[in-house]
Amino acid sequence: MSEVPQVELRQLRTHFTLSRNRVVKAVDGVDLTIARGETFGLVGESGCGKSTLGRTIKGIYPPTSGEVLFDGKDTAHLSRDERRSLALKLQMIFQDPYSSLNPRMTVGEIIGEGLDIHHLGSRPERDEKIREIMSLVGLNHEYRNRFPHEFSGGQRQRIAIARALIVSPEMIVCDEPISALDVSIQGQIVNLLKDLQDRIGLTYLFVAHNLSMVKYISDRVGVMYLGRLVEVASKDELFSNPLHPYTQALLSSVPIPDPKLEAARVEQTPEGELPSPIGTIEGCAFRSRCPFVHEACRTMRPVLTEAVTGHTVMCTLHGTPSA
Amino acid sequence: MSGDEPILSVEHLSVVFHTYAGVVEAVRDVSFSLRAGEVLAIVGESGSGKSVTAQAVMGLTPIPPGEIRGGSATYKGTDMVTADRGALAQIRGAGISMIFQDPMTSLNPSMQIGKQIREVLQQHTQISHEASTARVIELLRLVGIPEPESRLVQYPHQFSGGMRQRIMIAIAIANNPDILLADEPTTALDVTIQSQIFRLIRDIQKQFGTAMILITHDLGLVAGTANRIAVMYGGRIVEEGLTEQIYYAPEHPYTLGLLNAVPKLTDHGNARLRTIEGLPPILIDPPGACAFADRCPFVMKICRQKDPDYFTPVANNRSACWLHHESAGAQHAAFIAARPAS
Repeated sequence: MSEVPQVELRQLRTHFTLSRNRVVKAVDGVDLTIARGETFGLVGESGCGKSTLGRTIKGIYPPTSGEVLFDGKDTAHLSRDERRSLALKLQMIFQDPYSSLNPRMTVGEIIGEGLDIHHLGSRPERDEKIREIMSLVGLNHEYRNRFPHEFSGGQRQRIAIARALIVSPEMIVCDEPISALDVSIQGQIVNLLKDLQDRIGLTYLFVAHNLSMVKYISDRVGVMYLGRLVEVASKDELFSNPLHPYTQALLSSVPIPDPKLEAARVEQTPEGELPSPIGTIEGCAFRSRCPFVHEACRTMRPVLTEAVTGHTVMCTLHGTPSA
Repeated sequence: MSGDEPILSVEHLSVVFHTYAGVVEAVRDVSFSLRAGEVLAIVGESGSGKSVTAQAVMGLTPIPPGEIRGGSATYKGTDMVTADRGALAQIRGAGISMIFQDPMTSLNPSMQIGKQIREVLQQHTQISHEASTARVIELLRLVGIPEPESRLVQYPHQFSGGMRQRIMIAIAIANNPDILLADEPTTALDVTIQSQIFRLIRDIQKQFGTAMILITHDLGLVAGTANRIAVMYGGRIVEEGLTEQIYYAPEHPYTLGLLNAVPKLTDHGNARLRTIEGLPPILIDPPGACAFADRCPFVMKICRQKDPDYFTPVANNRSACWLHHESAGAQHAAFIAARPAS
């Protein structure tokens, strides 16, 4: 990957201050590179910071420290025009298609709003663009004057995708885009996202907790735990050779839709639950639940180390942490 | 199947809801039975009628707007659908207990959790305060709440989602019910917590021999837990069979579609996900035809004319699909060929 990556994160931190001494370190030191045209899947339990990471990249939350580079440029130091252009190039789709669409706007208005805000094209050009995008995402153009409540969850998610696509973005942050949908509809939306990527060459950050679906759609996958990215690898490598004890536990907890394989599944589900993200964690974030915990985990914070080519892991069992 | 008498038998249950848009036929002629100690999973998407069926079995259908059009749900000689409040109160929590989806809204936020469990105990048995405290601690320990002696005076908000669901389970099993009815018990939870809760449910089921009805939208969840599976679509049970048969040799195209729509962690490569095209039916004035016809890849002419009765393509199975009619011929062969090779 010699070309400039789509997104690069350098020691990104997003902290929320609750009161003077209570700080939620939602994202706590993440380094990550996402290449152009790639789908990067981000998984982890609720509260691990995966949504906050996506939103920080989109610029909804300002980073506390560290850098977000888009197209090689630090997004914190952009000119007015560059900021405007970034807002177009980087779009977002949210989890809940019920609350993310304005109920008082028609579908056509919702989809075309980006064009209006950015003064893109004449009125007829905009109408033509709306028609084109609606057909691209599989919505009947005759529905453009209807309101969101007249549509099912899956169709609303198509509206949200159309809204993101109309400004010709380079990248879309998909924050749990299928979690609220029925099983039979999830596949339709995932297939649509894949088709669009093939046609337009989009880059995706796909945030989800459904591991099977993430494996299906992603090129590379990252696992987050308590604000830290603890393992990153290509999807086949990650799912066949998970190195971090947390990733291993996470994968072993996924039920298999096959009675015989399910009966043979060996669970290594970690006992207990995600500790509170408030306050400072000394050493490894996973040590309170890790079956392999040893002395070094208490004292040293492990760093993301390349254990196998293209496969990095943040664990004292793999590679030596720098003190 | 064993010849045991069923502990619960639901027969020809039909539930409708009166709305401004019209009469929604949410549950249409649903029959099934549950034997002692058995785990039956009811699988279906939102709007398929699975939760409305559960509500009716518990005598919880909101009337109005709901209306029971017909049918019965008999538990130990009592029809839960027509029983009066007194009879229902006797059965709920003691004979049949329910675990709801969202443990935050089903626990009382302003009552200590120990008190909430004690309340259920005292409702059904004469029990001294000391004995009930001992039982509450025993129950909390059973469902895996650490340090139950000190935590029973805490309130729901002081517990995580997974712990709250454990408390709900403690309440549900407090009186050793014959039947546990769990409606999407892990939908709101993370995969590691979901796995812990399912393990707990399985342990309880084995330890006490409780019969269970497990309601879920995710066919992926119940492979290791259910003995039998009933698949609901458009208010009907479209297929019912033993767990292995449902997964390895589904006899209804909707079951096959559901199985295909879920990618497996063990899958490799980038084959396109096979989805069920189209949308679930709207159950206002449903046509007198198969509700799945518009989405079915094997649809035939008859499917749009007449709702199919149940066929028995293999032992212990029933499937509401015209493909099993002797005249289906080539379409039936195409369906069989489309099933996963086993």
